[in-house]
Amino acid sequence: MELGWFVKLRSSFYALLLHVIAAAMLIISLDLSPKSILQPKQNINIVNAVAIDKKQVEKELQRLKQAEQKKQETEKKRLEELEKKAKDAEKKLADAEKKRVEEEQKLADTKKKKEQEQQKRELEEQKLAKLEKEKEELEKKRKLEEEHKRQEAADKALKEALAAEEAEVQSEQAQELIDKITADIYRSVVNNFNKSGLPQGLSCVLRVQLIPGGEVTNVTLVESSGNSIFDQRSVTAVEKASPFQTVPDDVESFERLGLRQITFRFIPEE
Amino acid sequence: MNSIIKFINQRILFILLFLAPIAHSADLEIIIDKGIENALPIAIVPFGWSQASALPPIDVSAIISDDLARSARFAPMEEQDMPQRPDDFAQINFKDWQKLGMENLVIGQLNQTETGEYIVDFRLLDVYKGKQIVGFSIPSGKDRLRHTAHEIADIIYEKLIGVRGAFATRIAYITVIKNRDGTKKYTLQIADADGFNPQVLLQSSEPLLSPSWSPDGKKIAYVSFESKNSMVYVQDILTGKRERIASNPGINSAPAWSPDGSRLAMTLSKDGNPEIYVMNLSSKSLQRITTNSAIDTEPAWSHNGSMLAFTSDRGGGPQIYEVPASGGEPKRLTFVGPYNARPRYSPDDKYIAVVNGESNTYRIGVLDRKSGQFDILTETRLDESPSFSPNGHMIIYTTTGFRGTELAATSTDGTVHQRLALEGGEVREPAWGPFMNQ
Repeated sequence: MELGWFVKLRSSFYALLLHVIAAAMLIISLDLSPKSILQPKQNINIVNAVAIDKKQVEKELQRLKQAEQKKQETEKKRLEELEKKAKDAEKKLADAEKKRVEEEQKLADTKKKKEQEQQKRELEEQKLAKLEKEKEELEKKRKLEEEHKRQEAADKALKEALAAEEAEVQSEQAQELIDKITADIYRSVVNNFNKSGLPQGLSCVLRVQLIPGGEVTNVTLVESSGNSIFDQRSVTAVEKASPFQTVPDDVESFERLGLRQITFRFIPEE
Repeated sequence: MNSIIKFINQRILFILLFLAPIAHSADLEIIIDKGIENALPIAIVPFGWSQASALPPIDVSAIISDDLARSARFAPMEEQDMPQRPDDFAQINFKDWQKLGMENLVIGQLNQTETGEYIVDFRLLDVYKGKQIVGFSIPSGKDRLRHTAHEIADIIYEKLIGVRGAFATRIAYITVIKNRDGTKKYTLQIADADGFNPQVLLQSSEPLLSPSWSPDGKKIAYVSFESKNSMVYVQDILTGKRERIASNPGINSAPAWSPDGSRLAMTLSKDGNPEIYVMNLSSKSLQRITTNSAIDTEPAWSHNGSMLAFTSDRGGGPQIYEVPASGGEPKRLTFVGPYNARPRYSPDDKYIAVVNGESNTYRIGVLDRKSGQFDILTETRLDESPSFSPNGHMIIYTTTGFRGTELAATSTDGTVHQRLALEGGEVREPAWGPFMNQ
């Protein structure tokens, strides 16, 4: 019930509004007549209006108004349509433009993207190359280190082998040296052992002390032949052969070779 | 299992390590299986002499040096090569002698006492030890000085060779001098072993042969033709007293003393042809040793007294045979060459020296009785009458060359030969006397 008065009021308002609009339209239409392409008709209507009953007029006016309205509406419609068409076209164009722009943008974007990708790719490639390079360098380094290690190991092995060889050589050399010294001592003692006139089948043993340089410092008869001349000739042979030239001067070699004491067994073949 | 081995290894290693120094300290042993055979180097430094104002009567060191050189066992140093001439121990610089390889040094002094006697001091020194080997102070007289020198040589020889020297011994020999009228003078002499101090025992215009020393060196048996027939005599050297031992018909020759001096082996032909007999010198009884139609002669008595060696041509030519001194079956010893004669036993009876002849060449040969090995010692053409030195190291013999017949000596191994120059013409049948003071 309370809405009822509002609806009534709104309807009254609408009727009023409609009247206002109609009156306004009339004024506008009058006002607009000179400019309208339908001006002659207007003139006519004016003449007729005078003579017409108000009702009629109003009716006519209504009609006119309606026609005009219709015409305007149509025009409006057409205009609107045109406008719309134009608008559409424009919109279409705009759309196309937009689309083009968009595509261009898109292209640009793509390009950019592509470029970026390229860049990125290049970057990545660079990075990759760098990485590769680094890797290579690392590899190189590793290889170098490996080589170095290998070299070191080889060096070490070589050194060890050399050392071993040296040790062996040294021991061989020591043996060779001992052999050489022994041969030399043997030779020089034999060359000084005068067995002239001595009975055969005798033998004696001497213990001989040496000092570095080969000098004989002491000769001890540890096993007599039973013949004092034979023993004495043996002792003299050693004493006369002294110093043994090949016996080393340096104490270390001398001791290492064990030359401090030598046993001589005199047992001449018959 | 492995750990055990490892453990053992470690143990072994440990033991080895532990033993290593000991093993290392084991002596280097060198076997001397060879030697040289050289004359021994020795330096006989001229002896000092007490009387500076006069010359010494003899050169003692020179006599010693010559003796040792003649033996061929020594190589005495020449005086001009000596680095110093000490006559006292304190003066000796042994290093100087060592540098020259000199092994032995003899120094000494000849001193004359107020009474005119002489004393010879000498020292034999080991140069490498710097020590005296032997030293003596020997009283002597003017006439005995040479003998004293020979005695010193004997001592040195014995100390360094190991066998008694035979320098202080004598030799007997016969010299033959042709007179201008064509006759000959035969002289039996004795002299020192170096040929000095000759002493005439007997002179004869008829041949004297085969001098033979009694084992004590006091008598000489010999053969004399002074009665036209050969006869065997024994003469006392000191007194000159002689005794005719064998004067049988026919040949009386080649006397040889038994080692004990009681018997004399000889060749007699009183029973037909020359045979070997042994005479008992005190009883003059004879024992016939050989019985053979061939000639048996030149007996020699082995030094152990058990055997007699002699020359016999029972096999066709002269060869050496050996028979027991008490008699028995002779056995032939020599087979090398067509001629072997005049046997002489070495003092140890191991060898027999002979004259070995072939094609007019006569040389001294030595037979090893045990092995039968026969060696020729001499190289000249007419070498005869070998006689061993009493130590067996030398053989004296005669050799005939363009200078006539001379005395020569060789070492028993034949390495050294030398002539002994003796005055008085041709020398025959040398006989080396025994050691003087056995």
